[in-house]
Parts: sequence; structure tokens; C-alpha cells
Amino acid sequence: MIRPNPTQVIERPASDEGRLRDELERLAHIGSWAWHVAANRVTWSDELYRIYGLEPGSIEVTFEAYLSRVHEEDRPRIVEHVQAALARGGAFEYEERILRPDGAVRYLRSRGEVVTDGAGQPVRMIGTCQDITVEKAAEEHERQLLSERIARQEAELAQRRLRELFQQAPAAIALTVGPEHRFELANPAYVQLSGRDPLGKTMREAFPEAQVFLTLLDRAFATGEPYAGQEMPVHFAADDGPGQRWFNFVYQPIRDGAGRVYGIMTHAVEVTEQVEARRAVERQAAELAQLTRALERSNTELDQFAYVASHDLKAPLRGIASLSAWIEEDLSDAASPELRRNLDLLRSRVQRLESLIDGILAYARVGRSNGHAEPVDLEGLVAETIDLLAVPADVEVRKATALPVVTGTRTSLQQVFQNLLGNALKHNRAERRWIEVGAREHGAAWELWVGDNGPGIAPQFHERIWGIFQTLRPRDEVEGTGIGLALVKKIVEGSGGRVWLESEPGRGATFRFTWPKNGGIERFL
Amino acid sequence: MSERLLNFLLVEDDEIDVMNVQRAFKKNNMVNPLYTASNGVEALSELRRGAIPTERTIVLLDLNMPQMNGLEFLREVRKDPRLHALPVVVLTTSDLERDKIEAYDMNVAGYIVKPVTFSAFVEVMATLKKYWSLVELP
Repeated sequence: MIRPNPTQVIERPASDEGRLRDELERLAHIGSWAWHVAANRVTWSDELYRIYGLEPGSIEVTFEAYLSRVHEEDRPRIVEHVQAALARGGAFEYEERILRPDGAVRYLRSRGEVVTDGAGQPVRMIGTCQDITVEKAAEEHERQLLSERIARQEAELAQRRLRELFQQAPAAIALTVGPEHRFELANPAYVQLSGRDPLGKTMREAFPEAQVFLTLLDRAFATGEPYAGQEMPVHFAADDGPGQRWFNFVYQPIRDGAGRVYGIMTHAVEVTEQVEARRAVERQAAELAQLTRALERSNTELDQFAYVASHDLKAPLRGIASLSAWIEEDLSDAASPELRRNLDLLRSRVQRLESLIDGILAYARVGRSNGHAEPVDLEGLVAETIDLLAVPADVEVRKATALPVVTGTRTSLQQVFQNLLGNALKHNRAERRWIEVGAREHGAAWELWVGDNGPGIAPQFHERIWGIFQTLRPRDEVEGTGIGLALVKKIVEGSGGRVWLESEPGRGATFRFTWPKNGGIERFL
Repeated sequence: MSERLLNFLLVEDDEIDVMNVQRAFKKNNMVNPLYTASNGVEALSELRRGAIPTERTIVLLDLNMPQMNGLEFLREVRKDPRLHALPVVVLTTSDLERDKIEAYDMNVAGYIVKPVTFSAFVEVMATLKKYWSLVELP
């Protein structure tokens, strides 16, 4: 620690040389000092006094007196510098702020050197203090200018960014000002969308045709309430593009510092493509609905037609049947065997025609039955059907597997089994006849089958047999209308399943079909 | 058993169907009076002017007929205070659910779909006669 002695002697330069030095110091704003460390005696030049705002020689200077004039914040640093210099010796330099008696702050640059004795002990410290307040101020001014320039550049950059954002925004943006809505800003997207540059014009001048928008702008301006328009149709007078265009837009009132609305920002996005795409979809949906209705109508008509046709066809048929019976009856004994045979044939053809008509009717009615989908136990249903068909005692009915409970219309399922089991019986001429019924799971559906050891069907007929009125054998040989399998196919496919046949001539036949587990919803229009 | 015979009124436009009924009557040895009308209009006017008795008369009614069909005829009969209690049996080729429901809504005594063969028709007539001879009528 420095513990200076309070006793001081002020050396005053009196020589010419001293005066010259004084003049030079005054010119250079440099004061000088010397500190006898042991005596703690400090001498200041006149200029140094002046730098400190003091009359030369007006105070006795000690290290402490010096330190007390140094700016409070700088003092610890100064003490450190001085201690280090005393300990180390040699030259040193630092800057400090001092306070003049009038409170003015001056910036000084102090340079000094430690003078040691032969033993290396510090004897004196000498140095100069330059008043650099002006330079500091200039430096400060410079720094301020620089930071202002940086701030200005940053502001410019931010503004440029904002402008770029505004110019390049993928939406049309414009700012109109005042109750007349004069365009102050309009980005290129706005100009492009509207097909004109409205800058400087009022809304009425720029868009004389857009009365609706003017009204909306007026309202937004008057009320301060934003307005959002969804898919507003816009017709531009001088527009080469699509005749009608659609926009989503917002009129946002803009307020000044006092909260008063001074303008309106328009933000618009063209949605013509989306609207047109949606309209196309809607149009297609409407067309589809119309087609569906037409199809429903035509199906209903077909149904009615089938009914009326079969009804009206059956009436004369019955007449023919009755007349033939009466003719035979009235002729009684006079009828020859040949005549009787012909009348029998006539009646059998009438029968057949009636079966065909019934077949058409049954086929037309598939899917229109009054039945509703319900769980149907196929075990029970197949047993009932076998009863109904009066299966002869010599025919073995094999159950390959247990049969599931499926969901469907009871009458439809019965028709399917009645026809398949009926066919298996009807055509079978084998010595030991058998019929097999089975089921297995097949993904989301049940696969069901009815097999037999009958004559089988050649592969080239596997497709044909499902057609309406298709029979493979003369009708006189096996009475059949050719409607059964067509009916089966229509029912199964209507329920979302499929039918197929596995058969070879002489190896029996297995008719298979699938029935969806999820209910076999009958998808008829 | 009261031997007052039942009357039958056949409302039918098809000549062969009329013959059918007539022959079936003969075949069953039915001697009941059988009146015929070829459509609803004719049947109504005959009934109203008393040419056909309105008591102990069973109407056999076809549905598909020109001028006034069976259901229209039935509607008129049920509205007529003198005729509204007439027992009517529908005898038709139509097995439309709609027709059946409408007919029963107007209180028909039965609904029979005409069988195709004559022998079956003879059976139907015999059964009808037997049934109605059991029924007490006012």
C-alpha cells in the first residue's frame, strides 16, 4: 500500500527553460508531474493544474489528493496500475477521467516511468498527463455516428425486407386510405389479379364496376369491423381470363396511433381453381345422383314391366289350358288317342310357358323381396330345404362341415339352396346318389358349397350355365326353365359374393359361392 | 239346412274365365243362380236397379277389368248404403301384395288367385260353394 506522507513541498519552475516547457505543455495540453515516492511529494506543472481546472500552485498535491480528483469508477484501476508499476518498475500508461471543481469531466491519458535507485527500489515516478477530452468527444461522436449508421442500415434492411415481403407475398395486398379508399399501396400480386394498377386512384376510379366491394369497403371503414369474404365471385370488366373468378379476401381496417381508422388493408387470394374443382365434383355428384335415380326408376319400371308382362301373358295361357281341357271333355269318347296325346302336349307346353313366365317374375323380383337381412342359421335352412324338396330316401345327404349362421334375407338364401340342391337331385342318375353341403371361412366371407356325384358339367359350359334360360339338356328330358342358376347368381352377386362351379364330366359337380360375413347387404338399386 | 240357394255374381271381363266358372259350376253340379257382369259399371247398375238380388248374393270379383276395375267397384259398393254389406271374394290372377292389402282394407271375404288348370279351378269352386253354404247370412 502506498502511505504517502501528508507533508508536501511544491516545486515551482522559475527558469526560462521552465517557462518554455510551460508554454509547450500548454500548447500540447500536456501537463507533467513528478512523485517522490518516499516523501510522497508530488509536483505538478502549471498546465497540469490548468487541466485539473485549478490555479497553478493553488493546492498541495499528494497521491491521495490526485486520487480524490479521479472519477470514482476509475480509482481502483488507477491504484492497481500504480502499484503494479511500483512493484515492477519501468514505464506505464493508462487513461482516466478526472473531475474539475466545477464538476466537468475531463479525459486524460497518463504516461509515466518509475525511477529506481541502485538497489532497484523505486525512488521517483515521473510522467505526463495529456488532456484528451476533445479527442474522446470526437471519438464518442464518431462512435455515435457509426452506431446511427448501423441503425439506419438495419432499419433500411428491415424496411426492404418488409417491402420485399409485401411485393412478393403470394396474396394480393393493397392499402387504401381515407373514406374514398385511395390506393396507397398495391403489390404486384394485386395488380396482376385485378388486371390494373390502381395506385393513386380511388376505389371508384380504379374499379368502377365493383359496386359491391365499394359498399363493403365503406362499411369496414365506417364501422372499423374487418370483413372476410369467402369465395366471392368477381367479374372484371377488362378481363381476358376466365369469365368468372372467385376470391377469398379480407378488408382489415387500419388504425392510427389514436385508434382512428385511416385506411383499409385488402388481402385477397384467388380460389377460382378450388371453387371450379369443387363445383366439378359437385356437378359429378349431382349427375351421379341423377343417374342413380334414373337407374332406380328404370329398375322399378323393369320390375313393373316384368310383372305386368307375366300377368298379361298368363291370362291367355290359362284360357288355352282351359279350352283344351274342355275340348277333350266335350269330345269325350269321340276323341282319338292321337288327339288326346296332342292335347296333352299342348297342355304341357302351356305348363312350360307358365314356368318360364314364373321364372322371369322370380328373377325380376330378386332383391326386391320384402324380406330384410337377419341372422340365418344355415343348418336349419338347409334341413328345411331338403324337407321341402322331398329328397328321395336313397339319396345320401352328407354334411361335410357344420354350417354357419350368416346374415342375409332368409327367402333369398332359401332360393339359393333350393336351386342348388334341386339341381343336384334333378340331374343325378348315379347308382348311389349323394349330395354334399359344406362351408369354410374364406377371408371376410363364408364359402359355401353344394356337391353331387351326378353326371358333371364340361368346362366349356361352366360360364354358360349361369345365364338366364340356359339349359344343357332337352326340356322334354329334364323339366327345367333355365332360371334357377341365373337366380342363384343374381342373389349371390347382389349380396357381394360370387359363384363358380368345379366339375368334370363324369365326376360330379360342386357349386360354390361366397357370402360376405358382414351381412351380405343386398346391393340392389 | 235352409235350402234357399245362394246367388253368385261373377264380375269378370274375360269370356273364357266366365266359361271357366260356368263349367266349374256344372262340373260340381252347382245349380246356384250365376249372374255375370263384364265390368264394375255394369255390375253396379244391375245391382242398383234390382236385376240382380242384393240378398244372399256372393260376389266373385276380378280385379283387372276395363272401365271400372275390381277395386274401384269395391269402393263404390262399400259406399252404397244398400250394397255395403255384400260379401265379396276376389278372384283374380294378380298376386300383387298391394292389391291384396287394398282389397282387405275394403273388407273382402276372401282373396283367391285363379289356378291355372281347369281341374284346380273346379276344386276351388267346389270349396267356395261348400264354405258359403256353411256361412249364415242375414
